[in-house]
Amino acid sequence: MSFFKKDKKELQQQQTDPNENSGPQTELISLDVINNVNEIQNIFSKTPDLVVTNLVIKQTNAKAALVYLGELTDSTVVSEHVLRPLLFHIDDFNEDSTLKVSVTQIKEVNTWSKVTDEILKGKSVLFMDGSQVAFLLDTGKWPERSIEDTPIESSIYGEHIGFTESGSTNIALIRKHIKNQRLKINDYSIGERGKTKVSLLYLDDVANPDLIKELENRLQKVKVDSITNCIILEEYIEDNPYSPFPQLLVTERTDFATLEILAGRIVIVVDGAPNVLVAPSTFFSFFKSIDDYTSRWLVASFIRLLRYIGFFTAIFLPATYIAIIAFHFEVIPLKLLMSIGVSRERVPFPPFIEALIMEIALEMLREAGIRLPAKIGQTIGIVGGIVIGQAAVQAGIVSNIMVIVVAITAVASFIIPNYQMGASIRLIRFPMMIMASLFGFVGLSVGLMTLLIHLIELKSLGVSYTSPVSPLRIQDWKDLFIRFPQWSITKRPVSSLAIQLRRADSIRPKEDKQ
Amino acid sequence: MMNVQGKQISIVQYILLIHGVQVGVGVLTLPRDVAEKAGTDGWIGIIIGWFIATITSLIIIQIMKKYPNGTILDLLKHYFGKWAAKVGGGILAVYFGLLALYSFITEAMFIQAWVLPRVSIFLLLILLSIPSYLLVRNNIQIIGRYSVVVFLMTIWILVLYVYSFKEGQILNLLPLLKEGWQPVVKTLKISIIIYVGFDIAFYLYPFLEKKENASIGVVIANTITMIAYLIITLGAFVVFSPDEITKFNEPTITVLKVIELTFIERLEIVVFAFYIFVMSTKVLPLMFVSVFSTSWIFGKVDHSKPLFWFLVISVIYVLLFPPSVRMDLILAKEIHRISYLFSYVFPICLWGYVLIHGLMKRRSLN
Amino acid sequence: MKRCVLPLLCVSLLMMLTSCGYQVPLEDTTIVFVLGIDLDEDNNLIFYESSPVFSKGAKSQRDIYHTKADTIRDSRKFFDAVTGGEVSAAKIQILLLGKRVVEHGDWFPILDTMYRNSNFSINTRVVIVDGQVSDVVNYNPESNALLAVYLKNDIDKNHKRTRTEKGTLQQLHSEFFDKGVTPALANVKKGKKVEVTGTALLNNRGKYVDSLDLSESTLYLFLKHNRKHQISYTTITIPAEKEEGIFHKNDLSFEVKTVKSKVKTSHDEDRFKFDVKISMSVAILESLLPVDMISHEKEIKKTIEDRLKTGYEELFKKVQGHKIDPFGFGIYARAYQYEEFKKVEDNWGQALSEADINVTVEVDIKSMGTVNDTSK
Repeated sequence: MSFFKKDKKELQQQQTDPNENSGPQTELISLDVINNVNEIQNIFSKTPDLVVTNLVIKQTNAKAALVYLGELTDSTVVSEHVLRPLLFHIDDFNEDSTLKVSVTQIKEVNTWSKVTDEILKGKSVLFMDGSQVAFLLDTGKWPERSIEDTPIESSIYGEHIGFTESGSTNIALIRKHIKNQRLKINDYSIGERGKTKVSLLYLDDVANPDLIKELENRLQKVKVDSITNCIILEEYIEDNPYSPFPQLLVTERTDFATLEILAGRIVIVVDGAPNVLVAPSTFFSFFKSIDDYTSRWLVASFIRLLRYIGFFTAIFLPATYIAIIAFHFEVIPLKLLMSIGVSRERVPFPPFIEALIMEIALEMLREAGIRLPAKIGQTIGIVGGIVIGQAAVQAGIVSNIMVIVVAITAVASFIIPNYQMGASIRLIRFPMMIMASLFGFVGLSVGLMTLLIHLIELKSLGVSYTSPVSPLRIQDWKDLFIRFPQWSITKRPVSSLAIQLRRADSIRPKEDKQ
Repeated sequence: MMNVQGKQISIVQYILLIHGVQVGVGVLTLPRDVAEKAGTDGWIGIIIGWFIATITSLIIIQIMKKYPNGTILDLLKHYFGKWAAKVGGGILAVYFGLLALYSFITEAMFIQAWVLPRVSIFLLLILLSIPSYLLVRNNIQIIGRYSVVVFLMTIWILVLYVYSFKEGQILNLLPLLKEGWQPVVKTLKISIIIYVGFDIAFYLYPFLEKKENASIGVVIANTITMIAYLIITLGAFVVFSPDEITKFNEPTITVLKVIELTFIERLEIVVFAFYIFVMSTKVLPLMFVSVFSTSWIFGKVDHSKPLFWFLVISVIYVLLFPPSVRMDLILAKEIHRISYLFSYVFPICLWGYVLIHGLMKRRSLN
Repeated sequence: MKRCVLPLLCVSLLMMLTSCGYQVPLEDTTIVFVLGIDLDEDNNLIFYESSPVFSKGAKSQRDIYHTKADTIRDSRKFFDAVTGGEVSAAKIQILLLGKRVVEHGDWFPILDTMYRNSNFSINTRVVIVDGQVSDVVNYNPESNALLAVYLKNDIDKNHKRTRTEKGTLQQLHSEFFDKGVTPALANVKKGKKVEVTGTALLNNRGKYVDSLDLSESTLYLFLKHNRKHQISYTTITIPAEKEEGIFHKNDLSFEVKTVKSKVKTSHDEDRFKFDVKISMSVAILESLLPVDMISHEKEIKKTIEDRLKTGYEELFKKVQGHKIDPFGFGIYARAYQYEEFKKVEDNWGQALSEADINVTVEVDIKSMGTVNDTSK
């Protein structure tokens, strides 16, 4: 035990204040431009990308200094719309001291902390000699990626637009789908050093205010240096961090996020992350994909059912194989028994080890496929699939039935549309295999029981995770295992705890009577 | 008064909780038990038992209506004072604890007998304790949800029994009442024991959302149990000839051995794996009631500590007294006797007392 | 409290790892597919077992062992000593009983372990061998199929085609103990190949009494399996006057589409009376009669009915002569005439031999085929 204690002591070093050196929080800027410029250069020491432009405003003949971080500003806007009017323009009609620049947003600040924050956020600050306030000019332009198709969640007919790393672009993309003034946004700033902007989007007449409050509480309790991705944020605000199942849905598709907002849920947009969080989520929302709604409902229902079958297969198939071979071979029909017996005869390992070897090999292959660049990745896929599987069987390390089992399991786990849920499922396989190898079918039952109990207990933002199966809400079953036609789903799901349940009338237009 | 916020159960959970507690290990030997007393007319006894059990359940609901915001323990406190209620609570905790222990151990014994002959019961109990602890430490709402999910998951087993009818001989059931009503009356002893479990309504009532549905709920629960028992018993009577049915110890499972499907053989092993779930819906709510009573006596709300000790005691018990079939039978007899007292006599007496109390109160007011 | 849970969980799981030895892996077991019981000349019980060999490139596809022993369980200690893996009885497909065994009464208790041990499969087909069990056990079907698969398929197929009884262990147990029925099992013989010869009938103590050949078995099964008639192929020849020549001119074959039988039970004057009515709808598939089928339909129908009726009457005489009841008339008697049945239930064979069994057959010819008259 003392082994652990030592480590703890070392960690308790002095923690530095990240916001140090930006001056006391409320200290005002001075009236003298040169003092202000000196102060700025003090704060931003060792910052070569800080640009300080000293100028004289033609209109008032006052000395001024424009300060900004070069890489974060749009130089065109700065030169054309700030410097040019200030340097050259004289307005004969309006002799007052309002700033005559043609930028979109002008704010006034007078504390150093605010000035520092805003410079770091990309604004330019204009100090004027003799003025008590400094002007913040919105000239920011962050380096951005263009809108591309979603790499992880592909769809057949859905839109090919994915979220980008800019929070404002993402909000704009959502606004494209919901042109309703009831779509409200709550902004928060999370992270001491990162000061990441986190926005909550919701329909304020539909989403439950208690949930919004709960989310707000959780967000405000987060104390970190910086959040670069919303999945990192998820770990801080989720209900049960020890559960293998994700409790908040992550999506990079704009149409999917829109659907969730319309269902009464809350979307969390993190500036800098190419995906968003949806809260609260139920277990079954991880099995939905936008293709369910862009296909015909019969086809969509079939594929939905296939996903649930895939879920059970991915978790239980290897474990069932182990249980049957090791404990209960009586269950297999006669002819299959013969072929399994012949193929297992050559294998030196007990079924659990055999399964473990194949499963771990497959996991390594899969992970390698993600890490390798695309050109090499394809080759490895073929090498792994064909050569390793075939060669292993011929060498007698595994039986060919095992290869089939592992292949079907892998395929089944890839059907799950949500990557996080798929990864969790792949993980749960292994404890099930251990239980099956220890106790056969009874071990499987106990494993399933434990899994069930855990799922029933789990909550997402206080909403029970397995709604609408438990607690039983039959009216939500219209979009659960089978998707009923769109025009028959008239209510929002109860699991979102929405306060307004009836969607706008979604009735199919009656047939035209000739 | 109790704080039921966030722990309420819906009517479906209420019904399936009660039904889950009723159907447990007893159903495995049920066809033989009733056939021993009344031959192939034994199934009529099940219906009569249903009738009696339903009436008693309704009496229980009538009692609970007098004090709707507490469990039976709060009701006892209201009528008899704090210390009497604590003693009563202790007795109830011990009773339900015994029931839970007996069902738990019998469940492990059946698993050992039919599925895993080489594993010791001690190890099986430790294995089964893990999900038991995980579930019962929560409040009744989670246990109710679990019962609903298990019911939905295992309803297909009944369909299998209906399928087995086609392998059987319906004429085995005729003629009805061949020896008269006398043997059927003899089965009553067993056929009312199989419905024991409705007395957890004593504990469920305050948590129910819409209390006006309590009576209908308990009737539906008993009816579902009766239908399940009837299907299984009739299935066994039809598949086995009347002269051989008393020779099988667990005809319920042997019936499944007869079914042949093309893609799977020895169906009873697979069904038994699911049957563990059904048995757990009997054991776990009983465990909950027992530890709930225990923690109520000490005034605490969190019952995970008594639960932990309960599981440890049951494992140690199995270690010290390894169960055998003979001991199991003796235990069963004793527990049945106690069950008559607690599940049938006690509610009636309590109801009588409550009625008289109410009458006297009204008289004294006048 | 929560902190204790995790380490305790780990400890208990670690304890469970010791149960690793409880596995019974597939390739390490000797799976017995065929079990045989026979009597040798000195009336000692001999047990045969046949199990498949899983290794490719082994000399033969299966292992066959036999030993003298007292009971089935007793024989296992020999088999365990001789075979490569643990002997498992979970998948026994066929139980072969030599005729010599069943000719002695009271052989049924030998099978006790198959019912008592929950590991045994209760759907094992019980087959009576006309001759030596060793002949059948050592037989290797030319199609290189496993003997167990071959035999089981044979019996199942014939049962489906209504030519023999399935005779599972469960059925045997049921019929043995049921006071209203006597057991009937499949009958097999080894000539050049192993073939199904019909049904073997036992009395209520299990002693072998008689056999029914294939056509008698068909009639028997029509009546016995009342509710579940499969569509079966039956060829029943109808000899009329004897004719010269090699080729028959009086044969008729038809396929029975549906069969329904009704048994009315009554009791008067000390004896039971059973009125059996069998109605079937048939399609004529082969006719060697030199007549115009369609115009003679009524006569053909009458002929078929008469033939069948005679067949049944002979069958009933046979059965009553042996004082057995493979049809299950006793079940009807118990269902409808309970008090009377109770008086004689311990000696039902005797009571049935004194009973009146009347049978009427009704045939409905649904089709005569695509051609009419094939004679010149």
